[in-house]
Amino acid sequence: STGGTLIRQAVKEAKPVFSATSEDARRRVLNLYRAWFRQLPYIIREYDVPLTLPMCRRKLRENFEKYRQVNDIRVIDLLVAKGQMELVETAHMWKQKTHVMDYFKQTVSPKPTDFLGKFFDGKEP
Amino acid sequence: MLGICRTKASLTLQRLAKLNSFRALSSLGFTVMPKFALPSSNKHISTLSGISQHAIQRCSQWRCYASASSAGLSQDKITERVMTVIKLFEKISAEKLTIESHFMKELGLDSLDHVELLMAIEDEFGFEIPDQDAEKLNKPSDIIKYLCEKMEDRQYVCM
Repeated sequence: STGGTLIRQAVKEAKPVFSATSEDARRRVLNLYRAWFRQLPYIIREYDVPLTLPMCRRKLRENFEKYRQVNDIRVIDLLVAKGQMELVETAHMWKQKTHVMDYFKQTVSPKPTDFLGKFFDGKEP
Repeated sequence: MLGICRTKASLTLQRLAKLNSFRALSSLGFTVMPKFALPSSNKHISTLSGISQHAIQRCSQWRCYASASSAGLSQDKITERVMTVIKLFEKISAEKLTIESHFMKELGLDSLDHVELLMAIEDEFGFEIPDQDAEKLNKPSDIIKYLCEKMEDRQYVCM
């Protein structure tokens, strides 16, 4: 034997949250997308938000694309669970108009480029 | 455990769809329609519930029209409807579209686009496509074949 000491690796497998395989998780994600997609026209009508259906669909797609890179099945399951909770709250009208409009809120304010903008922001020239 | 998200969301949808009458038809599901569309069952229903024959006849005519069984669900008709739905989908360019073009590889759709497309087809034909079948429908020809089979199962003629 060439080897020195064998390193015994304790292989620990994490307990699944909902889905056992990535196929399972994929199905949950697609079902959540389907459910939200079908609910959008009712959301617009019931909350009377100043939004159009294409805007809402784009926002829905954007929110799903945000987590496109996630590969860990347990993380996917938790994200799906949170999305499902949001859907239930929105569909039952437990939210208000402002909560629905929050999905469209700009969280990143654009950096000022001109002198006055920078001055107001407190940046020294 | 598998369908927790789906069943909860679909229950919600069904409840809401019943409140919103213009979607009431789709929430009924395909299985309700054939019972009323067959004329032989009408007499049975009317004797049980005491509804007038006239009302049942009118009811069944309405259902027949809605289920489009009299319009004839031939392979050509299905092909036409499916291709129209796919052409109306903005993310697909009409030049590349043929019956054998693969959605993901040739037309450049991703899985969410595929889901949207299948939902448009579900809305057009009036019944839900389950997930296991939805995964396999990657070309328009697959969809047409699948729909023909489903229509046959539900006792409609597919020539």
